[in-house]
Order: sequence, then structure tokens, then C-alpha cells
Amino acid sequence: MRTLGQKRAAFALEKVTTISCDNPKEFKTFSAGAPSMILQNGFGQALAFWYAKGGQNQRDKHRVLLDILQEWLCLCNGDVRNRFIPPCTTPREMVTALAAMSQDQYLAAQKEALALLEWIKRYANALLKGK
Amino acid sequence: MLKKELCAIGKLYAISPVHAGSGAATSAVDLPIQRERHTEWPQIQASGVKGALRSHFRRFANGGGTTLINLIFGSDEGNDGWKKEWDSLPGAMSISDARLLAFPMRSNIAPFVWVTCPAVLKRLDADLTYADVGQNMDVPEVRGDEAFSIGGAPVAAGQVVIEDAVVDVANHQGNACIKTLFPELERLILVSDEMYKYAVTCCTEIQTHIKIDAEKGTADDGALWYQEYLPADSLLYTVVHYSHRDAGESEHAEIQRALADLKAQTIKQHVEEALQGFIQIGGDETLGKGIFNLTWITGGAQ
Repeated sequence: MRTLGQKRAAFALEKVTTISCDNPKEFKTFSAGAPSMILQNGFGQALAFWYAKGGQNQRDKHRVLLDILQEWLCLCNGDVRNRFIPPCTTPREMVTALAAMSQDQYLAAQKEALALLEWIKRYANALLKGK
Repeated sequence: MLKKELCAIGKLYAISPVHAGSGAATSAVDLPIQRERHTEWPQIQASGVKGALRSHFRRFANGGGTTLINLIFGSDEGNDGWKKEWDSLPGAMSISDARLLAFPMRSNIAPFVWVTCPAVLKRLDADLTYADVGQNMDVPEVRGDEAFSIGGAPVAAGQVVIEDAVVDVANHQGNACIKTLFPELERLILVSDEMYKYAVTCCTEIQTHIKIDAEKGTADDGALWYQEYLPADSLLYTVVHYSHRDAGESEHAEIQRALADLKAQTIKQHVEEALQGFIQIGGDETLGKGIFNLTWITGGAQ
């Protein structure tokens, strides 16, 4: 059995290693500030802001991070059984689901997103240097 | 071992944001604050509180001399001139971690509300019993989005927005103990333990810091960090107890003379006279952070 921390770490490592982003160095800086942005502005607000910035460009840093969060929060694969948001495949579906869920679920999703982002920013800082 | 003779509770009301840093960086922010391991509630470790009190005492105690500070807080050669040939002595007062009692949150009720929860109040109750303050706390159960107004000024019944969450405040049930001992907490609402956890983990203050490159006038490369603070208006408390000193604790005549008269009551007076009002604890002193207003609730004798 793996701890939840191990599962987050493995997922984050894989995502950062295989990142396809226009400017990986910018992603590094952006991911370092992402948890603070959620804490300062609220979860829904931060995600809506990134959604507005990233739009349909799948290689934009905002969109890349949104995609990672969306995949993780409802990932069911092997020993990972995440149900922080209902199953969905796009950031748009994610923000729609967030708006509809109960307060408890919303706050749980926020905590989980913050926990994953800790690993994302750590690995981005380690792996995306100099790119 | 310290003999617990006299007790007191030190109330620490934050005048400015406070950064008692944990030194770790494995968190959502680069410089997080100290938290209790099992609850994740913010705290200030006892050693930090004691160091700050000692430093304040050193600067503001009148007529005590350096021997007194050594006898009250424990002997220290480096800072307070304890002589090498004297045996080291422990202090005569014991200070607990500073625990968070009420956390301020932005709200639709101007200008803000304080929140606390049943688990915090039960712990306060235990601490008051330990310090023999003689109050009985009646802690109601709170579930889900329920909340009660328990401070001095009633918060009108109805929905109250605290940051991103909404709670349903029932009729005012002012808590006698809180109103007597913590009158500064006017708009205090009791929320569920889960809601309180959301408040103290997701709604602390985050400040962005940079360093400016003097030549270019822009942010220095790599010098950008996010620092966590406990917001101003947070209320913490620390449990303190005092014990008397005995001349027999030292073989040296000079120290024996100083120890002879030092009753717990005298030590308590020295401490409470010198340590009151504004006091600085934690990091970023030169940025005006960590200023508390310290007042004392006198406890009983044991």
C-alpha cells in the first residue's frame, strides 16, 4: 500500500517530467506561486483566473496546470481512487463541477489541490531549471 | 523539578501580522508558520515565547539586575552575564506554547469576525483548570455549517460569510467565561471543528516578498518568496506557572543571597510588571511584524 503522499508525488513527478509547455521556465515560476494564489484569492477564483488566462491553448502554463489538477482530482487508476470532483475530462467541466458541489466537498478539493501543488512546485523547481 | 505554585494566563493579542517561522519550506508557501503537528492549528512554540519574554524583560525590567533575569528565566552565560564558576540553574517560571484561541476572518459582517471551535474551547477549559482560573466552560456541540455567536456583542442570527464559506449563525448564546476573560473578542462565532480547520489552514495571511535589484530597479532574479503570517487581531494565550527559589540551590554565597528572598509571588510580580503591553515575538521585527499586546489573567495558587 502506498501513502497518499507517495501517490501525489509519483503523479506530480510524471506530469512535470513529461510536461509540454511553451515555456517550462515560466511554468516553474508560475507553479511556485500557484498555491499562494489559491490561498490569497480562494480556490474557485484562482482556477477561474487561470482558465481565463490559459483559454484553449493547451501549451499555456495556466492551462497545463489546470489540466494536471483536473486529472488528479478525479483520477481513478490502480490504487489511486480520487473522488474530490466528479469524473471529468476538461478544465471547463472541472470549474463547472466545483461551482455545483457542496461546501464540504469544495473545501476538501481545495485542500487536495494544495497538497498536490506542493509536489508540482517542488519537482518543477528541481527539474525545469535552465530549460 | 519546578514546583507549580502560582499560575497565570498570558493573553497575546496580535497588533500586527505575526511570523513565528517553522524553518521548513515543504509547504504551499516558502516560509510557513509554526503549527501543531496533530491539529495543524497555528501556534508559537514555548521556546520562542520564552525567548521573546526574556529579551523584553532584559530591556524593560527596572532595577532587577542581571542576576534576577538569570534566576527567573534560567542561567545564561552568553547573554545575561552568568559567571562560569557558578553552577547553572534552571528558571523559576514555566511557559507553555502560545495557543490560538480566536482567529480573525474577513466576513460580510464589518469589519471581520473571530472564529473558534469546540475543540479549542475544550482545550482552553483544560488549561483554565490547570491554571486554576476557576471558570466553568459550557461548550455546545456544533455540526456542519452550524455556528453560534458566543462573544460579547451578538452577531445577528442568519448566514454569515467567512472568507469562501458560509455558516448559519443561530441565536446569540454569549459564553460567560469568554465574555469575562476575553472581552476583546466581541464578534466571536463558534464554528464546527472542520470549519475551524479550514479557517486556520486556508485563510492565513500570505505576503509576497521580493528583493529589488538596486541598479535595474526591478525584482532580483530568484528573489521572490511567499511568506505566511498569522493575521493581526489573532488572539493566543500561554499558560505560565511560577515556583519559589531556594537558597540551597547554589553553593555560592552571592547567588544564595539573591535566591533567599525569591518567593513565587515576588517572581510573578517582577514578571507581570516588566512584561505587559506591547511585546515583539517572531520574525520580521524590522518590518513591524510580531507585535502583541500582552495582558495577564491571574490564576490561583497551588
